[in-house]
Amino acid sequence: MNASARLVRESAPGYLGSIARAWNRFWFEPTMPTTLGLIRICAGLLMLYVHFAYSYDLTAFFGRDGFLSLKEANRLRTETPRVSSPLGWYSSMPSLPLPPEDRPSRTGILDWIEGVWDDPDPKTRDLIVGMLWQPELPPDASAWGNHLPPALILGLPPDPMGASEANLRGRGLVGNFISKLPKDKAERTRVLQYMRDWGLDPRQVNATGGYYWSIWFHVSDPTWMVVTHLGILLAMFLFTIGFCTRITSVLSWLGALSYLQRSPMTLFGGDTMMNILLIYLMIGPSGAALSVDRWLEHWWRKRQALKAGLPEPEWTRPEPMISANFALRLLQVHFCIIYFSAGTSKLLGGQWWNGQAIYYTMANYEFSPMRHGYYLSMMRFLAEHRWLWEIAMAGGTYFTLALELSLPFLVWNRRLRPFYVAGAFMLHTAIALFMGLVTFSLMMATMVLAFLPSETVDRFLARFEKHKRKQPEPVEAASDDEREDEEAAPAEKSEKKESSTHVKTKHRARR
Amino acid sequence: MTREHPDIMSAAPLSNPRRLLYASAGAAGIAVMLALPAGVWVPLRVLCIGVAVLAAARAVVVQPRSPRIVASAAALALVCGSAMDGSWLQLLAQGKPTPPPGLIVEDDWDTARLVMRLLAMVGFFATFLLLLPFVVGKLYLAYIYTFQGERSPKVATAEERGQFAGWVLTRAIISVLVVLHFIGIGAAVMAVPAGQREQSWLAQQIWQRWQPYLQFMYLNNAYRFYSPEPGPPSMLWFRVEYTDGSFQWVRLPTHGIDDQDPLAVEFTRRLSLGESVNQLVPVGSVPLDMKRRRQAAGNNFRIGKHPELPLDFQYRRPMESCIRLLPEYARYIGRAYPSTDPNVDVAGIKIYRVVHHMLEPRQMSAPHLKPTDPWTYFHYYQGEFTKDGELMDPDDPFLYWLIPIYAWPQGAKPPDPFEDVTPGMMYLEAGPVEVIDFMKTHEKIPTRKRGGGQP
Repeated sequence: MNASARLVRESAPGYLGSIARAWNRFWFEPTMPTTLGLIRICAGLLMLYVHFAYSYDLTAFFGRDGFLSLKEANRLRTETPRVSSPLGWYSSMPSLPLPPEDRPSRTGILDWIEGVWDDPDPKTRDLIVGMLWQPELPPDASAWGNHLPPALILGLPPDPMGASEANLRGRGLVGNFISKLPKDKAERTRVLQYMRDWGLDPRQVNATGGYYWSIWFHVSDPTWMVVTHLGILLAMFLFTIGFCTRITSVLSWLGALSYLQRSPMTLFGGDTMMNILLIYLMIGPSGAALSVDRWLEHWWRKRQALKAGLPEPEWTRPEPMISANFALRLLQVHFCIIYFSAGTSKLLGGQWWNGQAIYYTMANYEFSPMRHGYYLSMMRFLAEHRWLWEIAMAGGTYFTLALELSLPFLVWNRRLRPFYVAGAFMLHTAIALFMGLVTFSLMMATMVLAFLPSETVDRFLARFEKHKRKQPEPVEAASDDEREDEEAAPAEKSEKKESSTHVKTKHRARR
Repeated sequence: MTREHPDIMSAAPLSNPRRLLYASAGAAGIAVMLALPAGVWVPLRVLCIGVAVLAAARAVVVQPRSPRIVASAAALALVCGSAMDGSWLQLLAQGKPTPPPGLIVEDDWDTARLVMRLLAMVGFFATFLLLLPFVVGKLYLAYIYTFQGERSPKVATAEERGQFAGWVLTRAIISVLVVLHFIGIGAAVMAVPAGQREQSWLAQQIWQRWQPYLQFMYLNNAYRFYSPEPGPPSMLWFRVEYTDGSFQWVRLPTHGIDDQDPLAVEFTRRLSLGESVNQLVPVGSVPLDMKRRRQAAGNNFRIGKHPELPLDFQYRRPMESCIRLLPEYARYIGRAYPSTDPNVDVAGIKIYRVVHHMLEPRQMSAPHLKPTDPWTYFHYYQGEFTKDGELMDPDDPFLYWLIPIYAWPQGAKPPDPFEDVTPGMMYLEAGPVEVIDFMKTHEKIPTRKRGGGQP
């Protein structure tokens, strides 16, 4: 890596070079995987809990006849239309603009069209299409024979260009649509049925269905469902303790995704956060620290050494890894996007400006602990004292806004970071206590852990180690300024830097 | 990067990648063979595929930097994907697989096949990245030899420099992937309209192109929590009526029943069911004939309007994607809550979307007002369904209308709810209130008497 670093310095001089170096340092600088290990344990425990809770409702949520039946779930995932928005200023004209969000009217029109096509006399269709194109409709309804059009069509102007506000733009378009339907009955029926269901002509749809994975689309027998569920729980448990983590992390994510994709109408924010955590824990070496994998590796080394008559190897700390830093950075950036989006979207709401928003989250009976007497008494007490109420509610509201809007920018400052991390923990503790979203808050708090330096986590964990005297002092990560110096200075300076860092660490330790 | 000491760790169990790959290939081969007889032995086939994938994954874990191992594992994932339903094999065997007893298999394991293809794609791409520094190093060396001759002073370091260029290229590719990943996430955030405005065209275009990735990874979230404002929760209440005239209410969720787990995850999930039908067609002016039908039916059944809300706000039709879910829920409730008498069947299931409003801050200080008072629940009728999930009367004049329960200060003269009322604010905190409950009337209306407002 030293040779690489030297080559980086040589090959990327100047301003652009410094940007490239900063980018390289941000994403690809090795860091200890301890924080990632801690996040794995926290996220794993929460994930286990969330999925264990599914055990009560396995068939209700994922079964063949659950809240969303397997048949409908399969239909949604395979038939949902995907239509691209226009590349220019105007959308392409649908072959038959049907009334949106009005399935009964839509069905009425399409049934009529199907009836026209199914008429045994082939001339009827041409006749009706011809009448639709006429500037004046026949005064006598009997002229339509058995195919009197629905009122919605009869009320349309004849020229497609003449009525931009109408749902169906002109009778002529309807006539066009009828004459251009496939002659093959099976194909025509398919087109009309799809239009009844989705309101769009399948011939104009870019694609149907989506990209989903769930084992519950394929396993629906109750016994096998229990077996599969237990298998997924086992994988999640192994991931939590850090056993075969590289494999169990992927299995856990695929397992969690199965639950998310099969029953999307039962999800909430906690599921979204859990998925994000699992993705990045899967990318990073989340089992490289605080894991059974580490313990097994040490145990194996010890056993082999004893067999070979060598001295017992010491328990060493995990080495810094690029992939650990990479995963943590991904998590940090994603967390900032979440906060920024949550903060900016709140600016659209008046209650976030007048300072009342927090009240409406705290007084929400379904989420908050309003059913407990002490909580209700507290809310009533605050409401009886307007000054107190305003200070508490406005304070909470503006604190939330300020934190969500500024954290994405200021958390990167090393001096401000501890305050922002503490602020985020405070916010999520309050959400858990007063808004009842405990799982969501714990997931978010777990994400905040990504901002804790591994050295801090290591130092904290060292307090619980029996043999901490044997452990080397954790090396303090270099500050940004020091890193800049390192990049700029020739390689010989590295020794000097090491000693200065050592002094700094000792100094901090004394403090 | 940390790696185990090869001398010691190579002796660890399951640490020979070549053997692991052989085992994986064997299991994948058996799975392919089992796919030939069109759908039989499916549990065994799935088991073989599982073993094959795990063995290949373990081989990659043991030697993650070996392009050969990673590429072999990727190829095996492709083979496993084919064995998932063996659609091409079925052409040989003829006919569609029939579900075996025990494990019920839907048409084919198409979503699992997608996972296998994805794993294979990731594997092949990783192989490319692993090979890149090596290939670039060799190419650069060849370039120096060809154009500058073997006596060139650059020859000695050519391969190292080439490998370095390859290494930089690898990081550049990974960096591009990172940027693309976050562009997708940003597009998912921006592609949702803000307020009444249309969404960003650019975000929409990007989001559409990233859709397969975002959808598969479940990263399609706009993260707009409690925005623009924290609104009241929406729940689903079902009134299940049986053929003997008895009925029961199923309220999703209910405290004390659905919050059995300490963190109330299951409660929140049931609450999400209510939210799933809470995407509403924007409030506009309700067609006159619809208002007239509601008025007529209201007069017939003595079900008035809410005096606090403009009439157009009392009709809240869910979006079609939500309406699609209602029959599903009705069907589930019909099956999950049968009568205690086996001879009695479910006659109908009335669904209400219930919005539980919070007490206003000033109302909170009044001890006689409780957060669970009946008038805080706004019931929007979603129709009556058969136990098979069929909407009994699509022309029901009350469909998607609010069936009001409201409170009025005791002693004050309330407006006539059967006439056009001017919405007004009621200061309920001032003193005792009386409750006017039209739900009691509505829940008892038999379906067959409805339609066109005629009792």
